Amino acid sequence: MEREILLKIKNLKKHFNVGKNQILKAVDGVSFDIYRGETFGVVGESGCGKSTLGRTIIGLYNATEGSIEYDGIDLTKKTTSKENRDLTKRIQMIFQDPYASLNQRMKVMDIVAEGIDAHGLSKNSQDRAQTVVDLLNTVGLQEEHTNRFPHEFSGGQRQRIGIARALAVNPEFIICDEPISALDVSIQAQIINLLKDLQNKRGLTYMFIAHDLSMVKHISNRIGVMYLGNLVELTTSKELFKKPLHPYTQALLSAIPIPNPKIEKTRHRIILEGSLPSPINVKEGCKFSSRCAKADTICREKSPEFVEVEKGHYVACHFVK
Amino acid sequence: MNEVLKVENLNVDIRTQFGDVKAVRGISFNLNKKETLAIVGESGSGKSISVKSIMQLLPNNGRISKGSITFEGDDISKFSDRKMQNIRGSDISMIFQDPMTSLNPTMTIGKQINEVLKKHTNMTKEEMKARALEILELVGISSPDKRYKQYPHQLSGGMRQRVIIAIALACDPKILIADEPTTALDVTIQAQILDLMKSLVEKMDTSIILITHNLGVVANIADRVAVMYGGKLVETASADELFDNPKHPYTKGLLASIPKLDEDEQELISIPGTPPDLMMPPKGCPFAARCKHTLKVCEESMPEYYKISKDHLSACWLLDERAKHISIES
Repeated sequence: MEREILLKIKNLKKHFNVGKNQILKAVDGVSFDIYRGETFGVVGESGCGKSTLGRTIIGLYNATEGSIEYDGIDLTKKTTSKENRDLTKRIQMIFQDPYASLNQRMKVMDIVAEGIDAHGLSKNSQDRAQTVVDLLNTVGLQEEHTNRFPHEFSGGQRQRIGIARALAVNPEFIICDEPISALDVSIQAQIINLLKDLQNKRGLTYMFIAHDLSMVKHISNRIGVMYLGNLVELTTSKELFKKPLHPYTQALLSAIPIPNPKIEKTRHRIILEGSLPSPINVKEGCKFSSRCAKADTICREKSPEFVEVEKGHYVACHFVK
Repeated sequence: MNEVLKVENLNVDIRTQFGDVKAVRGISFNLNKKETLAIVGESGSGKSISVKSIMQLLPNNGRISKGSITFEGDDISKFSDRKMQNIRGSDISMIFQDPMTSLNPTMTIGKQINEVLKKHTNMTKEEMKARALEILELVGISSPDKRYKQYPHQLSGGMRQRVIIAIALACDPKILIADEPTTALDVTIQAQILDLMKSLVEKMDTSIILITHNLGVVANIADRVAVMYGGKLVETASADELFDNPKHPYTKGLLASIPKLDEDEQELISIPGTPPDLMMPPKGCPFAARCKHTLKVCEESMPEYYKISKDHLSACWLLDERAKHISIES
């Protein structure tokens, strides 16, 4: 069965000018599709460009090159204001820091209703209040919370407010940029379960950006691994953990500490030397070659193509065929 | 004697405008030589405050209201500031969570290491430099003589954390307290730092108190684990036993809420609710409000520690003789 493609990204680039003749290539030629109703995870170390990718898709940054096609509309081209209004209703975002992403001076009622007001989705103030209360109930908060300010809530509760705000305009696609990394373990599980539950009930599509691989595996259908602005591997989450093909993915997976002392203290791990190189004026060739154990001359000269090696399993490495 | 540090019935209050927050409420633990003790808990459970009180680095409005901290036969909680200064950085040193802000941006790496040596030893300039280079090499920094002259902004996050560890180890401390040392780092760098800390225990005979909320890190490095909740220690055990046979419902919940990489499960087991407000700490067990198995007695009085095995203590009423008939499924 052919699944419907909701978002089609082709050779997307986002470069920043950071000084004289210095270009920071945060996202440097990324292509992938997101199907309707799935959760697409994006993982990578800090500085690999995963957040920039999310922000470019939703239009917080203008793409330098390439196309972002959402349900037939190219977001990188000029869109009419009607299309624009329509798109802001269909695509929403949940941010990382629940402390910084809510306006401290607004009450929860107004924070959640902002999208409703902007799009004129409520008939009268009573209707508006009712919608907000319904939304808060959906995310596990109560009616009495509507008149409070963000500082009166804990981190987990604030993240729930952020989710309610994103849901207010009935979107179909939500970009979650590290929605759980600022929360405690036991609260993380609550938020993940909530997101999954909402997806089942409302048929949402998620793009889930995170650096915590175990959580990403849990929520995602497919995962893309990023390294210095490029996707290096893309496959279903099951396959990625069972059979990682790219040397970077292998190292990344082996670096996650497993919460079981018996396994953890005996297993073999691939330790990567050094850290992520600077993304400013990157050299030719495979970007991972400076830290890769398998790197050869070809890796330093030519950057590998992102090819499908098995059905639905894409890898960018000279040694994986 | 193998014991290097003993904390007994430690209570810490933080004074605020609205009343005292009882951040730590009567915790006791000990630390043995060459041992790595992990303290686990959520934010606000009092784990950072406990170790800061060992170092007497509490904020101005915080104070130790009860209890003792014994280090080498002395109760260091009663030490004056001046006496404490001789211990900090030489006998007991501490590394902090954020490698980006714990170094002085206006001083070179070398100068920052020498600062500790100047305070605690009588080394000459040349000796200090030699020691600094030696310790930089020990923590795995390549070309130490080049790094010696560099400033913190010229190093990456992982490198900075290595420098901070180097500063902490410069005077051969007996105890190293690490407050979430890898939380701000990426997993690949985290693995490097954990390996480094493990090798240091071997080389330098240091004991480590590690604070973390990442149970994977605990499994990697810890010999013994203490679980904190709501300002109290709810369970302590050896790492193997804690993961194999957790007894406290909070520990069980915590372990169940991490997704397993090798299994597929539909829904994560989450602990409903949020931690208690320590301004008005609950009379009974701090976890009672979120626990699945709460009994009447849980809300009324704090349970004792029940001894499960030699090294395993757990504070839960369900372990009492009188509650034996209640079966807990987890």
